[in-house]
Amino acid sequence: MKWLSDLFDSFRPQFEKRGNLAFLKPLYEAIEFIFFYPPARTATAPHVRDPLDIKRYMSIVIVALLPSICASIWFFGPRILLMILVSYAVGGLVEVIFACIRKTEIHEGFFVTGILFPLILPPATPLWVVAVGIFVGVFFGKEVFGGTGHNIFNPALVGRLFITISFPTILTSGWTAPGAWRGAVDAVSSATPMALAKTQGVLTPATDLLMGIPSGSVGETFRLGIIVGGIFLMLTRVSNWRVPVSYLASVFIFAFLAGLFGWAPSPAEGSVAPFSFALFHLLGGSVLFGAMFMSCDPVTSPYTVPGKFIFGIGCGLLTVLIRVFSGYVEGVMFSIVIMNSFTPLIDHVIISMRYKSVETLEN
Amino acid sequence: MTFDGGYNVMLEGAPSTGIAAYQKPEALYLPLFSDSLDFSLLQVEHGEAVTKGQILAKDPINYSVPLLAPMDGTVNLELAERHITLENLSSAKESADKTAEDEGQRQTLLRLGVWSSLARVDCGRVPDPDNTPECLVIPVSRMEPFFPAAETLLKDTIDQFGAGLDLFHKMLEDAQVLMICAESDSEIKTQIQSLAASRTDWLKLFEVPNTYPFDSPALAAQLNDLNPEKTWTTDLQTILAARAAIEENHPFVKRIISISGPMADTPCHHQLPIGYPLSDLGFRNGSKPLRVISGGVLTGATVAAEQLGLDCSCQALNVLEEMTEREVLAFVQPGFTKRSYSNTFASFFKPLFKEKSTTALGGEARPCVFCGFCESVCPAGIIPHLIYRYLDNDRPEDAYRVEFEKCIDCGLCSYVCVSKINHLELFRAERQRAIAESIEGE
Repeated sequence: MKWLSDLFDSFRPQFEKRGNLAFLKPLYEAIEFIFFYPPARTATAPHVRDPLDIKRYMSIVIVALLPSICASIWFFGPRILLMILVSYAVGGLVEVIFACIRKTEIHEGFFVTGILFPLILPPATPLWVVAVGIFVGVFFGKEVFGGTGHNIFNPALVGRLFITISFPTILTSGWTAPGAWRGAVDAVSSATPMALAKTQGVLTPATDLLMGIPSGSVGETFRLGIIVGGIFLMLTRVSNWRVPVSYLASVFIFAFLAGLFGWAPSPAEGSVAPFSFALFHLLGGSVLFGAMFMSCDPVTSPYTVPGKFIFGIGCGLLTVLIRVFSGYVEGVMFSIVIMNSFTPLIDHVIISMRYKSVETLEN
Repeated sequence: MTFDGGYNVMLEGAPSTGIAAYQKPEALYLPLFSDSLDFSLLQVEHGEAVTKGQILAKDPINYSVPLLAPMDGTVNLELAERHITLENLSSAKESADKTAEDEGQRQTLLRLGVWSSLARVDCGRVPDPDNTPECLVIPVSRMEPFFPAAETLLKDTIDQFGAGLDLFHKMLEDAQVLMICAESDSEIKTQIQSLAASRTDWLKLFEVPNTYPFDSPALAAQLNDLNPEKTWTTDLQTILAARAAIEENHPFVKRIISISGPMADTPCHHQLPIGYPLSDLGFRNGSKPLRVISGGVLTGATVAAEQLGLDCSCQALNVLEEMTEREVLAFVQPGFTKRSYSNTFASFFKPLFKEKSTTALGGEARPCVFCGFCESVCPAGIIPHLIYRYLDNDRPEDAYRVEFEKCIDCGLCSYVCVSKINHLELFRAERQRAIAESIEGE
């Protein structure tokens, strides 16, 4: 690797204070530090540190997403790679421009946002819509708040929310059937399980959902992979188990109650058992993906332990409410974004209760 | 009792239990400072001949605790800045005629250099000899890498140690004594237990998990509902030194210290006089740049290049390699050789092993992402990232409202931080500020 290190060394003067490209220093450093760690040492106690850093922390999320990414390419074709590429390119550009203006380092949080965003879109979303969405997500969802660590809403969900509202027809007609691109199935597009359940009362079997046979957003169809990735993320301690577990448990419980009270849309023949209704809502749509990868984002979910449970239960309740009672077939995105906005309040209340006399608290 | 948080940093280079012989020094370089003391009041002149135990300088801020001559010799004040150099050394004949008739035991400890090894639990400063604590907390097992082992310090001296405890108990007007001991069975624990068995009304054994930092006196005070302002702490050697001072008029000028860490040649214990030349310890001659730390690797201070000899409060020296090589694509490597608090390294699948850690920061500094590791590892049950945010925004009153005073200064929050934030440094600065303010107030 000596040649690469020499190459970086030869370019460095261009980006130093008086160099021609000094304004691009954050970009140069980001690229260099990906290959070679900065030789940073501890200055004072503690003299030794844990080897985990933000780069690896964020990379672990991408590793956890690999089953979903691979499955989505198998289901929807190499076009998915293009969507990911566009997402990274446009989102990365926003990130780099902000870092250069602020003269700070480029933060790694974007690596996760850039991959999560295409995975929550319908597979046939036009590339220009992907570009607009990630731009809005990174710009308005994160950078205007001050960058990584300061955002209130999950940036990928902000982008998704924006394009859902701006381009409703594109977003609702892009449901390609998995495998259609290589002729594995006859239908080119199909209704999602959530839409089928809402309009016709048809519940897709759990095994189909787990294996990713019915259509859905890019990354949400292969649910077995999501479960494996999510558990991996919890075991590595990168995601805190409290949010996803309470989210999933409350979706199941509230959907079960909805079924019990007869609020489930009934099929043409027969009726829906509360248990199968609850199981369908647990596995159907993007609940699993949202719980495992979106809701547990540490920046936008509460940091207090009881707050995490409140957040998860709130997400679950809102998801079921939206799915059962509103005009939308899916409520995961809305519920997480709404709960994101409650995060500072939840933390504030928990901290005030724990330390009685806290008066002011800013996030 | 429940123990939350804590984490063991496993390092190579634990000291062997024996005491190794050392080379006789040509001269002693006594620093006029230590981590908590400043001997600004000189009591000798250049060229003066001094005898063992003679007062060389005093710290006027800390009840005039003295810096003593460890051997007979001639004072040289011009050789090194902020040091008293002692040349023409000779081993002293023990002179027992210095005892003042009406001197109290506390004054004896002060005069013979023992008192400065006592500390208040709430602020770490030397306690006022006119005050009396309710409790004296003594850590027996040490979990931070690395400190002298109790097995070495108390080998063949357990009876003297018991006598020292009796002495402290009486001198401190029937203060309680709490000994912190790891749960695991060991010979030393059995010996301490038998000491406690014959002193049940005032000597208690506090058993803790063998995890850092449950040996912390501040934490022990919290968990046992002791008033930290009326709790003092000290180490095993000071108890032994106090007995020798009072019963035999011995000045406390020689300490058993451990020299350990991944880069120590032969990690072991040495009994060295204060001012022993650091260059004679042989760890500054290698080809790799090294960092010598006075104290443990999590809370100790780097020994500055200007410091030439052992200072009077040094208990342990730990030697680490300075990180110089840049790792290639470190964040995508499986990491079989790196242990982490998280389970993000392949070493998760290996049994526990000791690491050859360097001073690597292990990444780049970033804003806090609220991963929560600092809170879950914190043994004091506070929220380090929240306190850090308050202090960083210059709102110390809010930090105290969320119980900053509970912080026991263990440094684990900084150790585990994914964003490489140094909470400990800011917390210590705030504590220093608060102490300075309270001294001004007095």
